[in-house]
Amino acid sequence: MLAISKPVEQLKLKDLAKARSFIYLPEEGLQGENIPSHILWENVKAENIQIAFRPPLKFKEIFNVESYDIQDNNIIVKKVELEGYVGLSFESSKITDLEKFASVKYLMRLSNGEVVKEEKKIRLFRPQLHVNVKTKEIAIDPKTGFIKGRMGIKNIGRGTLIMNISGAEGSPTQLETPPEHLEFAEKFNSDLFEEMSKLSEEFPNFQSVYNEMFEWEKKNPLELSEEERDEFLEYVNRVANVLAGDKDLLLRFIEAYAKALARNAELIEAVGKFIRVYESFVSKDILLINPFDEVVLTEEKNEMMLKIKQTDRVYDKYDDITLPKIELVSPKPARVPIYKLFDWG
Amino acid sequence: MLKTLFGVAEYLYKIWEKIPKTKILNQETTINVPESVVDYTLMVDIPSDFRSIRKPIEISAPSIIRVSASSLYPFPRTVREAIMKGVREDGRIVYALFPKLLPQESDLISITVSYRIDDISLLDDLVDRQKAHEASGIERNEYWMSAQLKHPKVLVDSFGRFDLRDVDVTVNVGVHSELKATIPQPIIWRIKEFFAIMSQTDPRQQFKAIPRLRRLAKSKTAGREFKVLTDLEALFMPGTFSKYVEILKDFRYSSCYKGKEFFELPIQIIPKKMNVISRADLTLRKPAAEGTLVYKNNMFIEAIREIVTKSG
Repeated sequence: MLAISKPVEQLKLKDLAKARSFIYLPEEGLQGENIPSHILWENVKAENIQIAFRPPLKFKEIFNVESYDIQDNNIIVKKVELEGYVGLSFESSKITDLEKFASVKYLMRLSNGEVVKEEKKIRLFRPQLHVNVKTKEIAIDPKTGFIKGRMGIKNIGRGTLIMNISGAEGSPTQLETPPEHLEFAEKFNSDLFEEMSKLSEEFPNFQSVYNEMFEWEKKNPLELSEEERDEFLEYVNRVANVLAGDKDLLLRFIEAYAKALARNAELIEAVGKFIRVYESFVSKDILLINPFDEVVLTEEKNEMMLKIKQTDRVYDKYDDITLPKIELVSPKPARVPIYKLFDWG
Repeated sequence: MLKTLFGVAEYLYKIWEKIPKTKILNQETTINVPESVVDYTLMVDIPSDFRSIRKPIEISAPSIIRVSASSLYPFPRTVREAIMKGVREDGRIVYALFPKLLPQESDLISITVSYRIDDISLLDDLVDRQKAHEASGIERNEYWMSAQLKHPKVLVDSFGRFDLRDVDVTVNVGVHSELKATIPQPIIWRIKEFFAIMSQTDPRQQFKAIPRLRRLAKSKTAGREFKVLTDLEALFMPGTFSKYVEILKDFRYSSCYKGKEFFELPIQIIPKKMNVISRADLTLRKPAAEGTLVYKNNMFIEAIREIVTKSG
């Protein structure tokens, strides 16, 4: 046994002592998110490291480096702090192209004379909404629920598009959130915050996010300024990290939600919500955030102008879309869920 | 930041620095992220007359949850008898090390103090954590994750060997498209119809609804509509949903919970996303970790299909 195992062991030991390096960069990413990268090496020293990157990547931070220079998208690491590792963080930004490859070239001269040269590419994508208003008149049959002349809407990019639809300023017909949903949300939120307040007393680590929770819950994610957007992303991460950082807190947090829901939703109501939400899953890559809102038709002919506000998973800024004036025709007064006016193909 | 995370560690170090003739040989720090607990160990060379110190060495801080001592020579063993826990009159908990109760033969001991950190989000000052906000890969069901130490040198200089255990990254896995694509429309219609009738409170309308109810009663799902919903809801229980995610490379699965967009009205029955927590260890030998979360959406679709076909 010994005679057989010995050469294998020797080989392993030899391998262990071999100079090795490894470079990481994700292959795909959403435009606007932070992109990490790192270089690891062992059993050898790095004498010089150069990293050249292309827009839309932007330098954000570098880790474990004592001194470095950065010029025209080139980072020259002069000295690392501890051998074996350099960490990087890039920012990416939203661009006109729906998809673009950005390359990062890594060059490392090692103390054994070897040169490691590697190019990695990341595909950066984003969603893009396309709306097609085919006709100026949409006919609604309140009896059958049939709607003729629906507007076409789809995401022609990649990634989730988060949107809400509202009546544009000056539109004679507006949207309304059904009062029962508003009432439910109010009661639920007040119970939820009561539960959260108990949590923050019991878990001091929850206090900081609890204090911010009120403020953020009031804000519309589609109307955040650039500064607010960064703060909000930080807040979202902080909530996730605080919850993941304490098992008991996470359990109690989940319980708090369940309690607030159980206290407020009757079974029938809960099923009703399931149906409504299910129907509002309009498309696999579009999230409509106001699926409960309805167009209230009081006349036979109702003029309406709709506005779409949009963002993506990193809450980037997208232009609002104001749709041309349409006429909603219904033989009798009706309430129509907004998502039904569109063909989500 | 370092003060908040390592204040107690520094405090212990200073206590030992002041004890004459002892020599601190090594330090080890482990942060256990999910427990929010730091274990800080000092390895100390003690002189033979150390045991003659009569006064106990007091170690006391509100966040301390445990103090232990080990003798490392001639063989490692915990010396429970040398540490005592007491309560002062003002209610403060005090740990005390009694030098005279340390084994005679030992000249090498280690003292470990475990303490809680109030705000684990301070970890962000030590680690850069990033994750994919959208799925990628050929099947668009993979999410990348990364965790990298920001300043390993500061840590090694101040706290010796350094381990960060179970650093978390939470990925939001979108699940709504599987539900939409898999649940057949007639089932939704029947659930809708059934519960519309059930919620009818006007006696005249109830009477009118009888023929609709009869029609529904003829379908195979009669009476099982609610079960479809509860079975679907059960798919999002952490234990069940975890079967549909696989974590590759340096990270491992930890737990998951239903997600809600902050701006949405509360909908807890069926979530649009699941928050999946994965964890990795960071050490000085492995200062950066990368991982991939694979959402086994095809298996998840199969599970939904099974629920709806069993009932339909």
